[in-house]
Amino acid sequence: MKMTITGITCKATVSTVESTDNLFLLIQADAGPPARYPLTGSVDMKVGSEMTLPDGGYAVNFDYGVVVTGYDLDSLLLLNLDSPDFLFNLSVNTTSQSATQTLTFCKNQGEGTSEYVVTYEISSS
Amino acid sequence: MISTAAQKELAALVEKRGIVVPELGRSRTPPAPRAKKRLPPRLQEAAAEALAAFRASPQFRALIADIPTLDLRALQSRLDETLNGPHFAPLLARLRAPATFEESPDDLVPKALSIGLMAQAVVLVGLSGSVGYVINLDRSNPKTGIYLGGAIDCGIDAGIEGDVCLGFWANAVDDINGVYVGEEVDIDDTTGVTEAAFVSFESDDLALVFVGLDLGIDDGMEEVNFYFVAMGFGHAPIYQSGDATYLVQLGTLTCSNSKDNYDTVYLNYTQDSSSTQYRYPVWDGIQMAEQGNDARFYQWGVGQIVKFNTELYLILQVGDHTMPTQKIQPGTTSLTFSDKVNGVDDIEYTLDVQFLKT
Repeated sequence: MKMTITGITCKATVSTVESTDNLFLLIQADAGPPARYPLTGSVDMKVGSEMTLPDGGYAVNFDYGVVVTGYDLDSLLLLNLDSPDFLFNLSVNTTSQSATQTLTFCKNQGEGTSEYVVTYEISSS
Repeated sequence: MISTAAQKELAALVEKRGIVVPELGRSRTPPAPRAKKRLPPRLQEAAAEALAAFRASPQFRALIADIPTLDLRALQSRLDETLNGPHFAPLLARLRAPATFEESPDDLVPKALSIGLMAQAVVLVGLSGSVGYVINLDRSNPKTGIYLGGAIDCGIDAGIEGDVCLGFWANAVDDINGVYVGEEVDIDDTTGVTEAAFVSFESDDLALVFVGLDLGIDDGMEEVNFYFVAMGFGHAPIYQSGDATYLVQLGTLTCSNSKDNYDTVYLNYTQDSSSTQYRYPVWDGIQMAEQGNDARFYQWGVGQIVKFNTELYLILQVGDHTMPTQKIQPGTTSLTFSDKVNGVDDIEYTLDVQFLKT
């Protein structure tokens, strides 16, 4: 089967520094080796930003399921002192349908949230 | 010699953790009575066999060749692969079933096993001794760490480029921190297998036995005070390699009783008999609250897909509290993580799981 991520939009950022999340994805199919998108670095996301994806969407083939996790790469200055922050996750398996999901996670004791809207298609090949 | 990079990282780690090496010297004179406990002969045999098999393998030659260039994380990962690899599997299986080796009440029943390098020059500020990777043997408390330590001088032949050695520890990883007194060195004339025993400074009980060939340690170590410490050291983000019989998708985690409100939660897991720990999410965690406190954040769709052959151990971390380990086996549909803090404060989370491949 195939999962194609066609859109990721930011509705609320976690980062307070310039209100920009530095988003990268880890995509893991069938519990295999994770793929990183983009391969290096991150994509700047402010409220309303759409993540640049490959033409036609980011496609991944799977037999059992896919886990997509979005992380915020911390500032380059702090790269050696800090580690990425969790932004959102979603997962599909062979029973999943194409969907648009709004993913909201609690940050800072309920005061802040991350909110991302992810659209994906599930097809048989 | 281990690489300078790894040595520098070790020194930085020691400083960062605020570890202070006690003053060391020679202990009690005249020599204390012999340690009451001993390393069970069956463990000694299994250790010697495992070491012989490993030393004859290409993996051993590759490890020794690579050591000078490995950083600490790479060294840990290579030693982890070695210890969880085929050569040490029979020894680990035996260690995890004390009935297979315990013959008398004097037998040491180790709580942790290490693989490391002996007689490296300086491993800790001014100390020569041993550095390596240590794992807990209790499957429900699968901690791992880097251990290091040694003595000021005496008994350790610092010039020797050490060979691999196995360590049998009376303490679990979290409790390895203290002064160990050299007790006895025993070298088998026919096989060359050397056994070096240490007792605890406080209790005089057998605390540690190193087994190896060419330990570079001699009779001069008796009564010498050694200092050993083990430190948890994070893994690089890794995934479970290889194929497994079962694939399971972790489903919805529900917080029915939080520790503090908005606990940061994440999961660690280990597969079958391996001690390698995985984590989801790889970094950071998810803040969760009880439904009554914040109905937006009382459930989390974990989604992570994990694999195993016979069982998978899950450890839920809730804020600063580690919940008792739960196990997924064929047929498991849900798990309840439940614990009390300070005897009264209940914490409860439930997780449903779905088999994707059986």
